[in-house]
Amino acid sequence: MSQHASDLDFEHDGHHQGDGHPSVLFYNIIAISLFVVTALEVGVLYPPLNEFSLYFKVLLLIVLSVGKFAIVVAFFMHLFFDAPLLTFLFAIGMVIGTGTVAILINVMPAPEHPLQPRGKPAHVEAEPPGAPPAEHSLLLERWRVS
Amino acid sequence: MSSEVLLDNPHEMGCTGMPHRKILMWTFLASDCMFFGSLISTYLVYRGHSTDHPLPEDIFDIPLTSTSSFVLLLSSWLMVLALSAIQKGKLWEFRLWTLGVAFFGSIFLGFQVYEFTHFIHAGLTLKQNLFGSTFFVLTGTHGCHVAIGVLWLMSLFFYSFIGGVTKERSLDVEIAGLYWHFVDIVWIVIFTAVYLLEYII
Repeated sequence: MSQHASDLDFEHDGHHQGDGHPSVLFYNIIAISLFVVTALEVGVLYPPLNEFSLYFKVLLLIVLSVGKFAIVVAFFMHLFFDAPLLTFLFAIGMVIGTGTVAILINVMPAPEHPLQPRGKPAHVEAEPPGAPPAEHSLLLERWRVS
Repeated sequence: MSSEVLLDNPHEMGCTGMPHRKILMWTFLASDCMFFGSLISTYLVYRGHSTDHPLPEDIFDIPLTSTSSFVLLLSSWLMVLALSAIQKGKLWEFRLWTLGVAFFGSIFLGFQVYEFTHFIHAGLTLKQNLFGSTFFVLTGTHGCHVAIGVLWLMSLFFYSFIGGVTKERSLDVEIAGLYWHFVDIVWIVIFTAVYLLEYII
């Protein structure tokens, strides 16, 4: 075990068994916290969490996901206890990977008139017979022709 | 990294003070981050560009996918318990947890096979639309990683019966564990970016 890890063992003695490895209890606490975070993530799609604003829900999902990712990497993969060189190595891949995602999403914008899902959403009322087609249908048709 | 390995085999050590294989594994995982980064960005940039049904809203089953996410998390938990056991020399405990990891990994694969079959019956194939192409390539690649992980863990399980897995050679288990946890963190990103955000944005 590296010097860095030894220092941490000393600092967090309550979570270790004295042989340089985190205790089973420590892993159990981490696992339970991961299950709770996953349940919260799924809960964003259901009431009452789904009643919040779009930005809040997206931000919440990203924060929870990044938090889970960090917990697994830090504690289950022992990066928190290992030498900084390994963190540096992994960070290179992470920066290039997330950079690729961010740049490509910005370079390639979403379509202006995406295909509508099958069926009508529950909040859309039925159109009366003979009524002109809905605006989104016209836009969709124009987009298909173009 | 357990000090026993370093003392047992000094040739494992490089000038960095860490075992070569561990550095190699982390380098591989970093490269795999870039690989999955490209696949995830491909899925996201083509999101909403499909001109044919079915679309994600038509076929995604969040309760099923959530269950498989919990299963993969559970397997990750058992993986750290397996490593902890072998580092303490508890061979039988290691075997039990390793078998558990492989079992739950197989359950996850079963969920994925069921999901793919359901999607194909619903009309979504690799060629159907952009959603099908990007979705199957991304999740299929992840599924291949899981399958390789299960085979790797099962080989360690059987290897332990002929004395190949010991406390002194716990680095082998640690490296397999790093791979398995990586598969888990990739799924954390896929679950959020592909499944959950679909119902919000």
